[in-house]
Amino acid sequence: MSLSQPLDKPDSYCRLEVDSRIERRFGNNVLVVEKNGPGYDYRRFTGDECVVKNTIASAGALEMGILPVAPIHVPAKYGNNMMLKFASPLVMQSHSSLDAYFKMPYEIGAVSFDNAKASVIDAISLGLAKYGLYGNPEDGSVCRSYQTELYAENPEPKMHQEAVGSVRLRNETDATQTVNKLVFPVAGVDFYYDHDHVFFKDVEATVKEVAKKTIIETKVVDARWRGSSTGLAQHAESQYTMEWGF
Amino acid sequence: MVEILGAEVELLTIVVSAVIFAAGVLVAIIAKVFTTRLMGARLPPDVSAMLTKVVFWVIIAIAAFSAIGNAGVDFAGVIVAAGIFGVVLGFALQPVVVNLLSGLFLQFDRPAKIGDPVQLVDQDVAGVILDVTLFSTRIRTFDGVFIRVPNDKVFTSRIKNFSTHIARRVELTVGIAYKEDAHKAKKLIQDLLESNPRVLTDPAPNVMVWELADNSVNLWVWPWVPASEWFSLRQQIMEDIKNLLDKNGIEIPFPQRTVWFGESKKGEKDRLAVTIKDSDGDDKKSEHRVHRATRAG
Repeated sequence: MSLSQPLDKPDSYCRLEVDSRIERRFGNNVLVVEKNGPGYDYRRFTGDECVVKNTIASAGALEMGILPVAPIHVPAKYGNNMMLKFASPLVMQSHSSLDAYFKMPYEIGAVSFDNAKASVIDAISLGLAKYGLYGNPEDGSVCRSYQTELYAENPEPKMHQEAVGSVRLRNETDATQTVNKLVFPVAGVDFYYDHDHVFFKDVEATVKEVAKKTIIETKVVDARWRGSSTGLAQHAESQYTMEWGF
Repeated sequence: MVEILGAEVELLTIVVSAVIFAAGVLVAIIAKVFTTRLMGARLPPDVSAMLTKVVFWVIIAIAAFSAIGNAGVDFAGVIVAAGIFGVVLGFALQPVVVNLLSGLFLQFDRPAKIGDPVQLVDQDVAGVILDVTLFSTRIRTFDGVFIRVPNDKVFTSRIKNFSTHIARRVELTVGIAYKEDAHKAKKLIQDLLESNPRVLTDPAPNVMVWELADNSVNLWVWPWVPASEWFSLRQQIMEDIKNLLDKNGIEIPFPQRTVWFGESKKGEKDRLAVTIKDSDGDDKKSEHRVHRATRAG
């Protein structure tokens, strides 16, 4: 096996070529990839029960990753965005800005790489995955929903459940604005991981007036976290306009 | 020489006209394939299909007129004849024309597109739209039957489209016995909904004590769910609530009736009150309690 991360722990994230077998354990879940004749088997066990089984055909050696992925696959994919709700509202005076940290969920994905293009073939969430509707049923968005505090210092997240991200909020309007939530795209966005710690890219959120309507534009940008990038190289939107309130 | 609509036409001309028409048909087929490939990826399937049909029939019509013109047929006569014929045909083909226009209007109105699960309320038809042609809408019902509905019926019908919106509300009514703690039942159901990952947090699920009904206290349970999950979740939530209430010993009552028998002509003073209570226990099966009530006074 050629390793991009040390395999000294059974719950470490990895991206590698499968020679014979890899196995990872997260809570009550065991993810196994192993060579089986000309192909490969992927299996997920919950306790002793095999709950997912896939056969993977590969032209050459199979490159697999057990990696942090966007929290939008469990229990099914409903949308591409994350809706972070602040535990307490953030009151921003006109033309003010704030840098803060937040916690957000992520999922652990079994990712197959084919010519460097990644496909998430299975994902688990160790915490309860909840979704919410942002906007209206006609043209809103079903987003993964999560409540977080805004932290001045880098917070300690729940292992294998929460990633840490950083947000820069700016109020460009002439009025005081109260921000209760942020919606930003996460589908296909890479995470950074360093052993047990997982980090999200930075989020820039700008409150502004557009056509007499107060909106927030959010943008996901590269961050300077330590560790490896998941390197999924998937198509990812980087911007979202919150036009149905915040 | 052959006589067509009063005009003498040479056989060679007829052959040439036939070749023009055949070439027109060939061009129409090529244009149809080309339009499908060109527009298929750029436009919605139903718009692309309609555009392809329009292109095909316009070319066929041009080819037909060219062929007739080549044969030397006098169009003035044809137009007069067509006018009279058109009036007659108009009455005869009124339903066809109505369907044709309805089909065009449906393309502009676009209440649903191919692949959408819909219900035509006034037509008592529900299923997935397979195709919208110039004259009819083809639907595969949810039990797998093919139904062709004329476009005018579709256009004038109320249409419920189940996939237009991304989220829908499940509406359930749960009755609990009067002796039960409604607040506790409400809290249990609320917790159940919050622990279900498919139930949306926004809008928040609503559980309300709504009605003091004849036989039960009725709770309304209104969770919002992704539209794609509505049908399966409705069943799952109902089943989960039933199991939850059973597990917590909260009775879901059956209808009860208290029957009072009137006083007999002989002036008997006792009345007989009969309470019939059905229960679902296998060992109890059905319980019938009969008791006498003494008339007051």
